[in-house]
Amino acid sequence: MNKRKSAISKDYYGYIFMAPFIIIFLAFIMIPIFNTFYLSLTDARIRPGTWGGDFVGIANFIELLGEPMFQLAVRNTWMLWLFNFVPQMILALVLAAMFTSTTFKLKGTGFFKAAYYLPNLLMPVTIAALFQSFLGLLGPVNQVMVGTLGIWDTARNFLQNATDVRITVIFLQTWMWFGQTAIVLVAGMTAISPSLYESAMIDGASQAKMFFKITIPLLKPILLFVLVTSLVGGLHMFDIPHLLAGSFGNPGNSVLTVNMLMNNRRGAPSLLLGNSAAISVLLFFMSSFVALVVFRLFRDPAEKRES
Amino acid sequence: MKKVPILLMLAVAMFALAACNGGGGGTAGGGGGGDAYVQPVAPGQASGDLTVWSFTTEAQVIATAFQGANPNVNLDFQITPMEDGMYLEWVWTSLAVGGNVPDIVFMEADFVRSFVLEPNMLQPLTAIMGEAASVETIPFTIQAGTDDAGVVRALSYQATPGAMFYRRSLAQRYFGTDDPATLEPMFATLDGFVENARLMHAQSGGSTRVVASPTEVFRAFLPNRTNPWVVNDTLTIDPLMEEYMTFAFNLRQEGLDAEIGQWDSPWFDGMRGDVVDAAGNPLEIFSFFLPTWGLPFVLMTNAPDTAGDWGIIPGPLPFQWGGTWLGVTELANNPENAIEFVRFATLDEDHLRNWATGVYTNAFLSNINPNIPDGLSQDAGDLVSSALLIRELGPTIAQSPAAAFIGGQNPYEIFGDAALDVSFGLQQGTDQTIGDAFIDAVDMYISGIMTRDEAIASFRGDVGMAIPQISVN
Amino acid sequence: MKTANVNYAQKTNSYVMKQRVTKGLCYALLIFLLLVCIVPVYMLLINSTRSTVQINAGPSLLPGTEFFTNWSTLTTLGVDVWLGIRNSAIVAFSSTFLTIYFSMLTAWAVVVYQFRFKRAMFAFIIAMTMIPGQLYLIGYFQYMNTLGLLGTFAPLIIPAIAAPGAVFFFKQYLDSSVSLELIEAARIDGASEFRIFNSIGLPLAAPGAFTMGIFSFVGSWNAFMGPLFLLGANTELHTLPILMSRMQGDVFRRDLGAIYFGMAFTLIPIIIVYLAFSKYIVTGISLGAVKE
Repeated sequence: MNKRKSAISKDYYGYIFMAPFIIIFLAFIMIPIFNTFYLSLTDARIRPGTWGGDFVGIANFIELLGEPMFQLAVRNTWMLWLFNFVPQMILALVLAAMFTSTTFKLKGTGFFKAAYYLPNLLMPVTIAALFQSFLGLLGPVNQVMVGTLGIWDTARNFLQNATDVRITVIFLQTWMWFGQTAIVLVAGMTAISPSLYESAMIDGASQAKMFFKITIPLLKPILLFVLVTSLVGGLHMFDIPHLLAGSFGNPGNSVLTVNMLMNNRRGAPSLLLGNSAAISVLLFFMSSFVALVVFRLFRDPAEKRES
Repeated sequence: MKKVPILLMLAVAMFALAACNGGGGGTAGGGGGGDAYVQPVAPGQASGDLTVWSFTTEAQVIATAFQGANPNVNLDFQITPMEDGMYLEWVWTSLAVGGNVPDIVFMEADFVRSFVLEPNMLQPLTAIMGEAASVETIPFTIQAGTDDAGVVRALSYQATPGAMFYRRSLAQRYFGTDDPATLEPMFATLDGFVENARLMHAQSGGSTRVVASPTEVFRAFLPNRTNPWVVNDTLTIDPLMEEYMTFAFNLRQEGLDAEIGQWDSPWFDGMRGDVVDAAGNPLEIFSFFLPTWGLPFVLMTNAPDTAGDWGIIPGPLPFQWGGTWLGVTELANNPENAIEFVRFATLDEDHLRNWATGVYTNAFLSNINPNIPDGLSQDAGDLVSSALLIRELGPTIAQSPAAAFIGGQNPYEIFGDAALDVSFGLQQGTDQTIGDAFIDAVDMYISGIMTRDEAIASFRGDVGMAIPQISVN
Repeated sequence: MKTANVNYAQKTNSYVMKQRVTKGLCYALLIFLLLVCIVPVYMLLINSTRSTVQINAGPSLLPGTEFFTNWSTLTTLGVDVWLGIRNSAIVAFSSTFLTIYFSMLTAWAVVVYQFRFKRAMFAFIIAMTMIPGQLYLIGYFQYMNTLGLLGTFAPLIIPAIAAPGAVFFFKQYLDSSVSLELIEAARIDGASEFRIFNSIGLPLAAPGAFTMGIFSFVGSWNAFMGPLFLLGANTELHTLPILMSRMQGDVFRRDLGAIYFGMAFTLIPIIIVYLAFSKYIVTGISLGAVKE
């Protein structure tokens, strides 16, 4: 009775507002996800007229964790993510700071921001086709370096060299995503009240000091979002390495990611649905664990008290 | 604290599902080579629905012709590209899930064995095999579609032996003749092949290469092995594959190939004779290893201006490449129509005659179905799978543009004889994946990125990774 | 007096100089990145107007003359581009709208209200962003088949209501911009909770909504495997990427000009949509200013 009178009584709207999400989630998405978890405990193989397999407990997981190829795929995935995330983040932060800077008041920021997002509009298959032809043995890069400029003696076979393939994948991932990351950061920065900067400026704070003392702390929730989504996206990396380096991620499996391994296991001719489900469950636990650590690190003291 | 309920929920739901899903799937109808097999409807009498899935537009020509012969059929044709295994993923998953399933699936040589040998996948075609005997279907095309119990489950409308297609003008320049009879013995052995490759390389100052890449010749090595890739579930590297590695390595070391991959755009440029290396110097490619369909689909389509400048010789090793098979799925909703479709496509004399002689022009097909793409048609010259028709049509094909394209040689005569000698016995359902892994490994070896042993280890690793069912040690 | 003036002038001069140099460096970086982003896209558009032979001959900065040839190749292969655009637009616009509205609503619930299991529910949503879409797709395909929804837009559009990633974004976004005092004030004015969401929440999150909306739109527009599986049975509903993939399927006649044309053709509508909405991304500075 007492509760109804106070404003807090409106809190049951939390359930109402969340209801559409929860209902659709349960009705559409939950069941296939559970199915994936279930399949990971079976020896299911894709067979005509058959869905599922015999229960084998955690056999798939034990097998995978002991498999050098799985370990390699995990290492590759982390490496590819880390080397694209760090430069991407630095670049995006610098750009976002420049775009929102009140002292520089750079012109045409809207245009630049729009242009930086362009790579993300392309389909991965388009990106792979473009760069494959750029980097081909007879492609424009070699034409310019060997033919026009004569810097190299012979054409460089980019896609047959482990380091080059890795660098290409990392470059493309950064290229595709830095614009989007910058836009998200700008969206976060514009939500910070200008009055905070104004009062800091009156106190004589430098540009750098304001960035680290005001922008970064208040940007924490958005930084957390960027970090976690990039992490999830990165750990699930598939299209670019798969399209550039084939399903084995060659040469030398240098860009074989966990998701590519899963795709190999599920696809013909192996068609190991149970094994591939186990890979995605492991991927899920891996991303969840790391996300959990990140959440802990980003938690502010006020929230800690709450729980 | 907050994680606990989630994990609990997951665990509970997981086991709930495990319980109700338990025991895996109850599978669909028996099939599996039983006595009862479906009879086709009478020719021209197909009515009701028929769903056809394929990966090439070629199948749409056949489907349209079938519609012409069976006006009452309601045919649903769907095409999904082979690229990146999309077609396979789509077919396998759809059949596993049930519901939306095709009556007819088209299959490529690389994976037809995996479909034929999969239980509950394809229906027996026993009812129409009598007709196969009367049109003298080329043996290897039946061999490809026969399961271990001897039941035929897939048939093809084409036979696909391969040959070495060479540029007559280049042969004239370096050997003083473009006559296939003279050139044939010069390239009849691997040693002769390499020797003449060196000769062209030296005389041209390095601009003329015998092939685009050693991978071209790889196809020719494959059918001449003693063992298939997989013996008793174990990966086996046949001595001939070892020999191929040496061959490829030497070819690349001496700069005799053009380092251009099959299906890459410079490959097609090479056919037209307008490819340049990175420094801008022209490269000329003497020959391409192509199967029967390579003539109409690859050479004539991509290099029409070179008509007449090509010749065919058998090359160092007899081989076969590609080919398309059809089968009726076990889950087919319209099996009687479907079996008639397979019969029509692969055994019907009139249809095969039309197919081979260029009757299926766009005008002909759009008369049947006005909604087909403007570019859909089938040119004359594809080698059909019926020995009877190959004999009958030989004189007709000799007058076709295909024959003119290869300087008056008759592809039907050359390939028709070769087709009878082809064996499909070494091909397995896993060949595509294993072949890709091997080509990758050899590429790394010959470009100096890996030693021979490293390359073989990488090959074994890739196969074990992609197909864990195969032991690689 | 005179010297002091000079000193002052010098000081300002050097300050201005420093500012200018920094600004110049900023522009240099911006322009460099601009080129890196635009050149490949530009090459794609240029290549769509060139023939295969021209493309293989090397890069060009000027458009070719084969635009209409490539266009007709595309249509000759039976690709009904207008149907593709219509289908892609239906899926992309409706799923984006649903994602934005319902994700904001869900995030609003998490940020504004206190209720039991809130934290658990939110943690659960976050956890669901970690499920790899790839395997989930196969299970989803199987499930949609059971529900008899294959070959309709429903499996592509309806789940957009439950987009965990978008909820996460809006939650984080609202965390730094929502003012509970403002909501309390609106309640005292007698506004209903839905009205508060629509009149305070939506505008507050507008820049975020356009940002997320574009991401969601692009993702939906470019999606390939999902639509292929879920719409495969019904060719009438095939989206642009599925139709364009046919061009690559015809390996025998790989017409690069037409392939690039198809890629460019898929790209242009989203560029237009993107440019139309991108200006809204930058607005909203003052709207976000309520939180102190």
